[in-house]
Amino acid sequence: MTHRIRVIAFLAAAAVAAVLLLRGLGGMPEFGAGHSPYRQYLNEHAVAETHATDLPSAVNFSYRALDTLGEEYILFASVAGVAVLLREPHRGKKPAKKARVPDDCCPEEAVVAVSRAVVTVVIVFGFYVTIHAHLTPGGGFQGGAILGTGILLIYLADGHEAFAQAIHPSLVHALEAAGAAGYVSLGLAAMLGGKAFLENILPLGETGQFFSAGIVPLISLAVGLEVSGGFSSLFVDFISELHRSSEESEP
Amino acid sequence: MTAIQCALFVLVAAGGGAAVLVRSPREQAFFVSLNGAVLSLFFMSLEAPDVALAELAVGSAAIPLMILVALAHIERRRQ
Repeated sequence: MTHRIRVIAFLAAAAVAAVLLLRGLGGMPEFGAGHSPYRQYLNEHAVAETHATDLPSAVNFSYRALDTLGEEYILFASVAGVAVLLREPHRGKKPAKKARVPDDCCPEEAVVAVSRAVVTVVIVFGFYVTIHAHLTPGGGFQGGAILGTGILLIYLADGHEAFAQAIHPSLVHALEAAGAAGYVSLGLAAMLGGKAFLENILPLGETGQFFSAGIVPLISLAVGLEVSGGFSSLFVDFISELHRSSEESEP
Repeated sequence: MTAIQCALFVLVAAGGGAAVLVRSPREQAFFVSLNGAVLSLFFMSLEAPDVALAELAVGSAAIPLMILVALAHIERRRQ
């Protein structure tokens, strides 16, 4: 395809997209003025019904818990897909020798110092955000992403060997599996008690207390385990693939 | 829309534009991270702290770190 044809194709496509975009934008409500009946209902009843003070979490982990389950399994499936892609060519080969891999091109001292200083704080904060989903902004997705970032900081500060010692691959895979299985088990437990899938089965407690809002914090914890496990499995698979391929290219 | 929201809107557009226009991958990672941070402030100004926290964790930390790890590996292989 010559440059000319590409430009013509782009201009035609851009014109169509612009017309559709402008039409769509024309039909939007005013900035900050979208008042849906669903939002109205949640603002009036959500705290009384779920005893959660963070409404996004109440929606994610109670009203629309089934949708969140689907979302969680999208992540689960993509992480599994990446794992399959990265591991396939090495199947059947003997595991890489314990050859001395030159550690990553010695990071800056400032990076090492800051990473080591904040890694514990980041991981504790990730847990905090995960288990306080029903009380304060945040939840399993945010907390899990923070935990995953904290784990990557270990790699950033201390390189591959320290990372491999601290974070065993089976640990992160177990975390991910526990999160995915825990979520479904909470739903099935409700069915065993004769209720609908993922309906609340625990006492709601007093609004604003840590032990309250029924299964909302538990679902959030399951999502947090799944997301942090998924994130770190991505990192672990990716990083060990990098090191394996560099071992092969440097005999 | 308040003045702060307007300013953040412009910054989001600038950060996104910069991430596309800058050609060096390492600088792109930096601008992606910066854009994530600005976007997160923008969500805060729209009173959406949950989304802001998610954007901060994923957009401004996790994705740029992944890019940097990949770049570090590519550079090491070239040497």
